[in-house]
Amino acid sequence: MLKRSYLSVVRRKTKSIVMFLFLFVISTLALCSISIKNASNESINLVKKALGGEVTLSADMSKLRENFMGENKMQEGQPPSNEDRKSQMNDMHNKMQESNATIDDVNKISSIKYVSDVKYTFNVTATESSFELYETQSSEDEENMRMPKGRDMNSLQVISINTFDLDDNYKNKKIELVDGTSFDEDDVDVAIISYELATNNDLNINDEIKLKDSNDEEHSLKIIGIYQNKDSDEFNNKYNKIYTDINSGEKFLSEESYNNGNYKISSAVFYLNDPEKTDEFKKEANKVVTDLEDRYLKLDIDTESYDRMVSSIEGTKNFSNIILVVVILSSIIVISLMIINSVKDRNYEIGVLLSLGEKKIKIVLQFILELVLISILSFIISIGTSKLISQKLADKVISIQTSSKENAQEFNGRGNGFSNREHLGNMGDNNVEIVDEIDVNVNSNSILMLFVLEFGIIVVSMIIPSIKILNSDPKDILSRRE
Amino acid sequence: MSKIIVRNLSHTYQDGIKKKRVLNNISCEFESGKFYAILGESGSGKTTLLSLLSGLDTIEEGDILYDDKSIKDIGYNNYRLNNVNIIFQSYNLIPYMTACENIEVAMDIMKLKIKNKREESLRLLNNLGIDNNTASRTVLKLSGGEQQRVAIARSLVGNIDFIMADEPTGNLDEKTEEKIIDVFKNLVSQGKCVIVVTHSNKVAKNADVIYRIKGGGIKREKSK
Repeated sequence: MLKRSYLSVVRRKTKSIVMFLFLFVISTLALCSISIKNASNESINLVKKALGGEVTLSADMSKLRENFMGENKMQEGQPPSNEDRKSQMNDMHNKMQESNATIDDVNKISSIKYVSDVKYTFNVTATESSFELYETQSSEDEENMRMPKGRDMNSLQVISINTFDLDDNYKNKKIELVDGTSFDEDDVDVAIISYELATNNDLNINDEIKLKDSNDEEHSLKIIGIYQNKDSDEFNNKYNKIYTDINSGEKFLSEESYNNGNYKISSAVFYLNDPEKTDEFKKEANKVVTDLEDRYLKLDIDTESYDRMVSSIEGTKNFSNIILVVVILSSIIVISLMIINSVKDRNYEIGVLLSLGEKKIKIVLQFILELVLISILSFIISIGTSKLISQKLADKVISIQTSSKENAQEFNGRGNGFSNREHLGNMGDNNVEIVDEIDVNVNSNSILMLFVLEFGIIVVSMIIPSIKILNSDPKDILSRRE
Repeated sequence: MSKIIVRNLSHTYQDGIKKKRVLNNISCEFESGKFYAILGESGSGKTTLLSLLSGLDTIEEGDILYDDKSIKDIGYNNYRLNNVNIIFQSYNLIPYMTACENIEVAMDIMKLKIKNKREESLRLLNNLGIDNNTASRTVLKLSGGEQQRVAIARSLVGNIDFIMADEPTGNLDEKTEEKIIDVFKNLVSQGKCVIVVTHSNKVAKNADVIYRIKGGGIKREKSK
C-alpha cells in the first residue's frame, strides 16, 4: 500500500504538485496562526501572573466618594460656604484615614492558603539626629515650590516594610542595592539608606544612624544596605528615603498609632500561589475579615491594567483564531473536492484494485497515505516559511491592534477622563502600557499541534471521498470501461 | 484438482426500465487442466456469467461452488483474492505504473512472501515474451498485445488455478491473438483452468470445452 501510494504521488506529478502547493499554503498559515496564538497565550499568562497574582488591600475610593456625596446631598442646590467646604474636606480626609487596613487585617488575610507572600508598609514619622540630609543641587527652590512643605525631595522619608526585596522600586529596578544586603521580617533595628545620604555623611555598612520619633525619643538603626537611585527621571529619585524593618518601624509609632499592636498600614499586597484563584481568595478574605466593606476597604486585582495590557494581544489572538478556523474549514472543503475529483479520475484504478481482491478500506487508506506523504513535505517546508513570516505577521497584526486600541482609548479618555484617572489613581499604577509585541516562536508545541491538525484535516476531508470508495462496485466500474 | 460448479444459476439485469433475465437456471462446471471457451451472441449473458464466475458480481439465484464451497461463503473479495484471476479485454492495468509494478501490486495485494518481487515479476513477463526493457516502461507506452501479456502475467501471480478472460484477444491483431492462445494453452498444460469468453473462432477451436449461451440457457458443445 505504501509503495502504491508512493508511486501514485511520484508518477501523477501535476496533481501531486497542486496538492502540495495547497497543503503548503494551509500548513504555513495554520502554523503561523498556531504560533501566534500560543505566543499570545504565553504573553497573556505572563501578564496574568504579573498582575493577577497580586491583590491589593486598599481604600475603596469610589465607595468613600459615594458615601461622602450621600451625606452632603442635603446641601445640594446651595453653594457651600468656605467653612462647610473645609469641614467636608476634613470629613473626607478622616474617612480615608479610618479606611486604612490594620496589621491584624494583614495577618488574618495572609493566613489564607492561597497567599504565598505578603508585602506591607507604613510610613514612619521621624527626624534625623545623627546625620545630615542630602540636598540636591538642582533648582532647590523650584522643587520646593512644587511640593508641599515637608514633602519636598530633600525631606526625610522613613518607610517601614516587612520585606525589602518586595519593594516596588527595588523590584522595578528603580533602585539598586550597591552595597550590603536586604532585610525581612526577622531583622530588627536595621536600615537601608541611599548612596548619596551615605556619602554625604561618610556612612558605611554596619555604621549606626540615629532617628528621633515624634516624642523626641532617639532610636538607633544599623545600616545593612546602601541603594542607588536608577530612575532616569531625576524627579522620581529620593535621596533621603530610608527603609527600615517592621520591628524598628513599630518603635517610632506613638502610643495612639501603635494601638496596642494593631496599627494601621499604608499599603498591603498579597501574592497568590495561583492567579486563577483570585476569586476564591477574595471570598476567603471576606470571611476572615468580615467588616472589610464596612470600613471602605477592598481587595482588588489590577483588572484595568490587565485589560489594557492584553487588549492588543487578545485582538491578535482572536485574529489568529479566525485565520485558523478559516484555514481549517477552507482546507477541508478544498481537499475534499480535490479528492472527490481524484476518486472520479481514478475510479478505474479503484476497480482494478478491487478486481484483484484489494479491500476497500485499504484503498481509502492508500488515498489517506498519499495525502500524508505530500503533507509531510509541505509540513517540513512550512516550518521554515512560518519561522520566517510568523513574527512579521504577528508584528503587523499587533501594531494594527495596538494603534486601534490606543485610538479607542484616546477617544474614551477624552470622553470619560475622570473615571480613568480615578481608577488608575486607586491602583496607584498609571504607567500601565499596552503590550505591543509578542515573541512568536515556531516551537515543538506549535509543530505538534499543526501535525495533529493537518492529520485531522486529511481524515475529515476523506470522509465524503471514502463513502464513494466504499460504495464502489468493481463490476460496474470495469464494465463501464469495457 | 480444483473444480468450479455452477448450480441452477439465474441472473437478471436492469435494461432501462425493465428487468432482463439474462441467465435462467443454468448449470455447468469447470475443472483445472482444461481450456474452456464461452460463446454466444452479444448480450446473451457471456460476460455476466464470467463476472459471476470470477466473483465480480453477486449471485442472485442458484449458487457457484468452488471445491464444493459456495463462493458466497468464501466471500467475493476473498474468492477474487485467492481463487481466481481475471483478464479483461481492455487489460485493466494501472496506467501510471510500469509492467513490473502492475504485477508487484498484485503480489502485494495477495500478500505473497516473495523475496525479490521484481525478479519474480520479470520472470513472469519474460516467460510471456516481454523483455526487461519493456517491463520497466509504464504500461501506457506498451502496445495492446504487450499490455494483454502483462495482464496475463499478472493473472499468473500466486499460482492460482482458475484464470478467467473476457474477450482477451478482442483488441488484438491475428498474430498477437495466436501468441495469446499459445500462452493459454501453455498454462492449461501446466494444470491451470482457463475460461475465455470470446467471439473468436480461433480461440474456440483451441478450447477443450465450449459452452454456448443462448436464450438464457447454456449448452456444452464440444468436449475433448
